[in-house]
Amino acid sequence: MTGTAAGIAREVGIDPVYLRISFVVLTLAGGWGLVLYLTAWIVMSRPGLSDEPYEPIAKAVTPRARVVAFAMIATGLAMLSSSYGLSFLGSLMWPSVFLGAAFVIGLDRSRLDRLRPLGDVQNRTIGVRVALGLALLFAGVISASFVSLSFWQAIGGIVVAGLVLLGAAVVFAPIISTLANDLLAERRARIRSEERADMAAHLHDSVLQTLTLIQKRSPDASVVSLARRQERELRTWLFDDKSMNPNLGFRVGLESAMAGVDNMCDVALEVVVVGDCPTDDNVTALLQAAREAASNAARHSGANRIDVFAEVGHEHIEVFVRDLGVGFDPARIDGDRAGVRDSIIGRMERNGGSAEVHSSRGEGTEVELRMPRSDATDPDELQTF
Amino acid sequence: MTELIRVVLVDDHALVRAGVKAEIGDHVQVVGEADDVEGAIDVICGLQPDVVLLDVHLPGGDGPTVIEGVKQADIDTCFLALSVSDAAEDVIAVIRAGARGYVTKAIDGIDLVDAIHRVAAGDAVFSPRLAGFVLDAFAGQIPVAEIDPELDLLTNREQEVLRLLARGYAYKEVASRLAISVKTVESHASSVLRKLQLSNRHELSRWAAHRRLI
Repeated sequence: MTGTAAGIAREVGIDPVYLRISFVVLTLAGGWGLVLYLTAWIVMSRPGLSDEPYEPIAKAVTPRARVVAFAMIATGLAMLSSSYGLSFLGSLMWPSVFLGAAFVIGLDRSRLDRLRPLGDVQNRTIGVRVALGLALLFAGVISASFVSLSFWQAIGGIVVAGLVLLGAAVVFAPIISTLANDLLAERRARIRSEERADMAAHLHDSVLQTLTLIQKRSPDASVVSLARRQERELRTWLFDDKSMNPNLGFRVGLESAMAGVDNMCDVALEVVVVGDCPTDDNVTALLQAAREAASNAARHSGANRIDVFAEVGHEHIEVFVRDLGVGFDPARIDGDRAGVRDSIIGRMERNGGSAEVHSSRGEGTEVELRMPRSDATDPDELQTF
Repeated sequence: MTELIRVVLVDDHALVRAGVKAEIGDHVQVVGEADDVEGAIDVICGLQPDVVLLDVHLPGGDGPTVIEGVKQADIDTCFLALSVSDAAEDVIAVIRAGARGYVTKAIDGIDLVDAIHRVAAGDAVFSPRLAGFVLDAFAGQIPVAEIDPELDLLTNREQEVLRLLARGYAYKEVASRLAISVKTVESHASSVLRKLQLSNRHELSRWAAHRRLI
């Protein structure tokens, strides 16, 4: 704690942990350890010593021999003090020795810190340390039981201690194993997404370019539509991280709805989405209406390109579907365009939205869909409702 | 038109270069090609074309690297980004580096030639997709952290113009819809680009000052 043990250990040439153990043992065995420690501390903490690192004089004995010698001295002192009745603790000496040793081993922070960067070695050492600590704790409990209790009572105590340990294991095992599993899953997911990014970059540079080129250069309409579909699918797979997530947001929902129209009708759809929001019933209705508007445009307008623009605003979501095809007269909407009234305007209005159709013959068509957001959370927005 | 616009193609796929060249070759003069960053900078600095058609992704760097390299050589040329890339961040990065527009490779030949002419004349070329990306960028949807919220807010009019462009309106249609002239639409579009790029320079100087480079 005060560097006393470390200082002595440095001079003697052994690991400080042995010294700390001996101090604790001696303290518990008769209080002498504390006396020795305080004395050493006072002696060693004289002011005025230089800050230069202290180099111990080389000793002839090997470190191992020193440890053994030191242990013998400490044990001897402990036994001596107890046999002459100098102990403060009396018959509780051995249990205390075991418990104290367990704590010293378990709580020796400086060693743990030093071991931390060593990876596997660290894990193994910690395992040994924990096992040793538990064994000592157990020994302490057992010896304590034998000191004050009869044989059967002692056995009972041991069983109780065992049950307590078992209970702790049962409580903590799932937590530990969950943590370990999470870590493993996270590492796996990261590796997978890195691999995916690599593959995406490669496919992007090779296959997508080729597919685009096929679309532009091939005279065969069916080849063009096949290439476009492949491109769209590949693109969705490559660039959409949310493709794994069953609860898709508005943006992905609209893009996939439009891809469906594209596949069905062989018209180029230029889909531009600004912003995003989660999907709910109203958003789903909006997506269905937008899909209907786009497929109407694809089937009836005769245009070769349809522009779809959607913007998720603070208060509502707007979708515009525009083509430059033949157009029609909105006044006759009741007669031959029941789909517009039911699937688009009706669906939007039932869900609290609105739809407008602008069209005239020869000028193309634009359908404007507007749906208020039900998840608006900004206080400014709430006031406007 | 007395002289054809001189164009350099930068794309790492020979097939794509050949395809684009076949489509626009009758209307502009393709003076050079390059397939990586270093080659592109060399070719552009050597030929000093009017317009560079630039792929967003290139081996040895990307579109912005080429633009920066050419700028450092003090060559005055216009860049038009041409890519199949759908990643908004990449497209915005090229625009911020100084490209005057972005079109996807699915654009047909006539539209591409038109876009080249517009860029050469100093106008901005907004495909619907680019208009969407820019709206997203200013709304903070695309992580372009460098956009300074104070400096770079779009005016309502600019937002209206961008929205109509994103809806697929041509400049002429935007003009008649908003009852303004085509020239005004063009100046709105250019001003949007300038705001994107200005914030970039602003950020750059702050970055440089922070590192005691200036």
